Amino acid sequence: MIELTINGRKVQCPPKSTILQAAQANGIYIPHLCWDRRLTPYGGCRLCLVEVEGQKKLLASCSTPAEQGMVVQTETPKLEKARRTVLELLLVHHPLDCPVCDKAGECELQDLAFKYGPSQSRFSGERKHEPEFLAAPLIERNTNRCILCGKCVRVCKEHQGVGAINLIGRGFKTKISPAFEETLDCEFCGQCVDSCPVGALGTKPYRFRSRVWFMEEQPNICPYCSVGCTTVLSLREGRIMRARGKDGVGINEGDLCPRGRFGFDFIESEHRLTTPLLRKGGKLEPASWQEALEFVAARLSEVKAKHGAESVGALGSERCSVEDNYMLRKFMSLAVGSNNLDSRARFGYHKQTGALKKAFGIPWLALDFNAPLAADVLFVLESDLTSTHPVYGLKVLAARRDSEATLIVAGPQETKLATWSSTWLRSRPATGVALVNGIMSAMLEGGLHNKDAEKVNGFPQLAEHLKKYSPGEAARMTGVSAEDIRQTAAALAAAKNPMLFASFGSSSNTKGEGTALALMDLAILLGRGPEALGMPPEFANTLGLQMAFGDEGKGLDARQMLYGNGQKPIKALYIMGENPAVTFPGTAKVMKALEGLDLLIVQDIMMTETAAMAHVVLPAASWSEKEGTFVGLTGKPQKFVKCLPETGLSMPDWKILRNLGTLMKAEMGAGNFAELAEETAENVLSAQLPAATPALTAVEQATTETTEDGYRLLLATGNLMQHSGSLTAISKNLGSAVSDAYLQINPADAKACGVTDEGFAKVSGKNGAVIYLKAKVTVEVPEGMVFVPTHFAHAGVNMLTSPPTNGEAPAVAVKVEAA
Amino acid sequence: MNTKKIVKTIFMTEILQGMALTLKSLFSPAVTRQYPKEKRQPFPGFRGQHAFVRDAKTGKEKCIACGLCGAVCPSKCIYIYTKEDEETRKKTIDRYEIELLRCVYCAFCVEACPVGAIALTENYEYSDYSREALYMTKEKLLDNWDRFMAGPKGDEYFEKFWTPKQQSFRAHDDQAVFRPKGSNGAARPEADTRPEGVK
Repeated sequence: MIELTINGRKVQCPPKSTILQAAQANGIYIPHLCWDRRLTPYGGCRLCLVEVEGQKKLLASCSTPAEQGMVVQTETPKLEKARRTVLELLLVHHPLDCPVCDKAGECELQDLAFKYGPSQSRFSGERKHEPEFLAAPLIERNTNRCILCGKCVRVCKEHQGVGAINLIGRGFKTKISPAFEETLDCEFCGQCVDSCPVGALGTKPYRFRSRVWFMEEQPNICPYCSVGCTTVLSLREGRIMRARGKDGVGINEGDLCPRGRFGFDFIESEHRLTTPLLRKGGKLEPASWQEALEFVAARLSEVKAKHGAESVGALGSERCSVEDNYMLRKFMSLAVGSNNLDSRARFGYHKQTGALKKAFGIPWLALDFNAPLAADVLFVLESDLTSTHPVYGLKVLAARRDSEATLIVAGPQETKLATWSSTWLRSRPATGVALVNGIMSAMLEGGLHNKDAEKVNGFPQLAEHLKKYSPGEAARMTGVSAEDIRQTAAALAAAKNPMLFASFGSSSNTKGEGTALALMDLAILLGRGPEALGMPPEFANTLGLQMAFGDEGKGLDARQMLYGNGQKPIKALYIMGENPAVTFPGTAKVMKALEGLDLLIVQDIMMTETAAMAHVVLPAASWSEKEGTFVGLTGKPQKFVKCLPETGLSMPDWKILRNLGTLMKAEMGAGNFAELAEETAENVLSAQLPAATPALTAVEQATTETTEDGYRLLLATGNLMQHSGSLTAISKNLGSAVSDAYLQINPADAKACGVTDEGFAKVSGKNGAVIYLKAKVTVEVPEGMVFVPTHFAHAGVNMLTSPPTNGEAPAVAVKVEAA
Repeated sequence: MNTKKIVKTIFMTEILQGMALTLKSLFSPAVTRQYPKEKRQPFPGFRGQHAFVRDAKTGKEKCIACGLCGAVCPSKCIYIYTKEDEETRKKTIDRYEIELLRCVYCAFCVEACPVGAIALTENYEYSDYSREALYMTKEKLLDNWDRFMAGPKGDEYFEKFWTPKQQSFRAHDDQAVFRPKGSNGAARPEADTRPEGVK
């Protein structure tokens, strides 16, 4: 620790801190405009000047290292004069349009001018007269207000790893702009907007909607991915005006992705359900709650009496709270008497939990959010972490940037992590198992593995099995050179703290349980346990749903319920907050199963494609309209709060289920939310992770479907950074960034198929499904592979896919033609 | 009981004094105003019912939707909702409401307004039987201006009593001027990026 004196107070700070950091850590305020906790010091604004004893000049505290015994003054008449002059000069060019600037009231320049600045300037000067830049989606730019602190540029490049904007021009004409003054086309994460100290950057959905002093702030847990970021909502009269990250708030400490920052407007969508709907004469008609619930209770009892309780199934939701899912389980066991309970996690998260059980004997992973920062070699397998879990992905990026860790990215797509990687192993799609097997084989070959791993169960079998995957053989299967595989093995083996990353989402079809298992084998060979795995669950409450549903294998799972895998078909299905008709793989089969049901009950916040087929639709209150608990990747429950009134007649999911259960004469308990939360905390959230017992399992690379003539391209599906499941399709904000599905195709393939950029392509699968998509010709995907995001119902991508068998990933061979 | 009091009681001097005052008042002019029939002219700068200033040039309200009136309002009776004008893409008011029942007539809103868009008229006769009538909207407020403040009266109001902030903070004439290299700009350049009305 370094000891120094600031304003006559003895303070301590860790070595390598700057004076500004030392002061902040001790609660001493030094004004600044261009400094950001996350970024390298810039020293541009000259507001953080301090006086240091023995130094003639004033020093910029943000870029001066604190030294032992330094005597620093932060508020003296000399400094005040210097700061006043700096502000006065800034205000010469800054337009005084505070009355119409959305930043007014929380503007750092305004606050500082108020604190130090004179109310009248000694100077007047020419101001800029640029028009506002309003063409880009979501982000507006007013270069006249810019004070050129460069925070947005640095956040975008250094922190977010994008570099979409920069300072262009010289002198008076300098401004922030995308390259060649084109319209901004980036990730639209909005990090630049939050970092802007003035009103030069703003979010378009918030443009001129409210002044900051009219709004209340309400931090809430983001409902999208499993990171569990805290997004700070600004509320006015029961509406969310905007969402933003606040420095130091929540696990994300102020970072947000496009979904967390702009995705809140699904709540106000016109597609929201406002009243229960009952099918009368083939059409869904509005009904009262009493009518709808009595109908459901009567019909469920009817089906139960006719076909038995085991003919009733239910699907839970990874987006609903732990309490909601717990209530669904309770409803199914007490009111219905069936154990047929599953969710979309079957096609996503279960790939990973299945592997975890085999490899470590534990039911789930509790990740340490900051673990990537401590790792020295990071291996990412076929996953676009910065898209699936953007803020977690930032940690991987930060490890690469700040501690200069080795980042090895394997996968066919040119993701953001791939561009920032130390080594990018561009493998063929869906060959993750072969690649990891090759790496393990190379490790055993060179004797690089941890010797303790030899004592682990299954080691001899694995060693035998890996002979088939010699680096040369793996190179042939994956398209990565044998030399690269050996080097990766050596790098991982030499690492003190290696970490292995992969995300297993239901929308991604190139990784299966085997891929997860192979990675876990690799972790064991490296002498590491589950702590070396960076495998986040997919959605906000995927882990919570897993906990709430508890033991598996009691009843039918989603595959057996909806794909008719040799079981007695179910007759009634209760779907809570899920849209299988769009989001489940192989939708044709799902649709057939849904059509064949005697009773389909859909409880959702919006009119989905599945709800349109239902016999009865129950409107549920959405996130922020109800309270509950999410369990994200850390495995720690986080409460989200109710801050909006319910839409129409909608009710929280747990309440609907309780009322229905009570109507069916079951003892549901849960008189109010507090009671339910207590019960859930006791029964569900108190579960402890058992200690891991490693075991090695040999995994074969699943043979990718033969790509015969015509069907020679492999279709990979996945998700985008701007969207999440099919829910965000109703968000107008996110829709303005990406509104439709598209087909990413390599230029060489595009030429061979006769597809042009922005032209329409006909994509047909071997199962006879045909979809039409706009083509995006890009080198982001390699030859032989096409990529399509799955969020958009009307694109129907999941008509081409099929559900994983034995957890293995079925990559789809498709034919692409010009349409 | 002393002699002085006895004399007072016997001769009823206090009553006679009172009667004298009554007699005097009988012949002096009356001070009671016969209110509905006879109205009082308010003093200049009286703080009565609100009005939105109608800009003589544009014929519209002057308000630039900054919300400072709502921010400063001690009784929080001003509700201002803003939006982006679809054509000009400038900030405009969507709804502007004043709840008269809660207003304390402090005129802080007038003082805070940077452009002089709101005024308190001399009208004090607006009692009503319904709450709706006491809920001012943009249209009603503009109408008030036309009724009570139109013409030179409005100008005088802002000149004498409530000088808008924009005028008090105007740059003084001998201020130093910065001009970027290569520009031959005027000595006192006007910023056209500022919203209409803000100087």
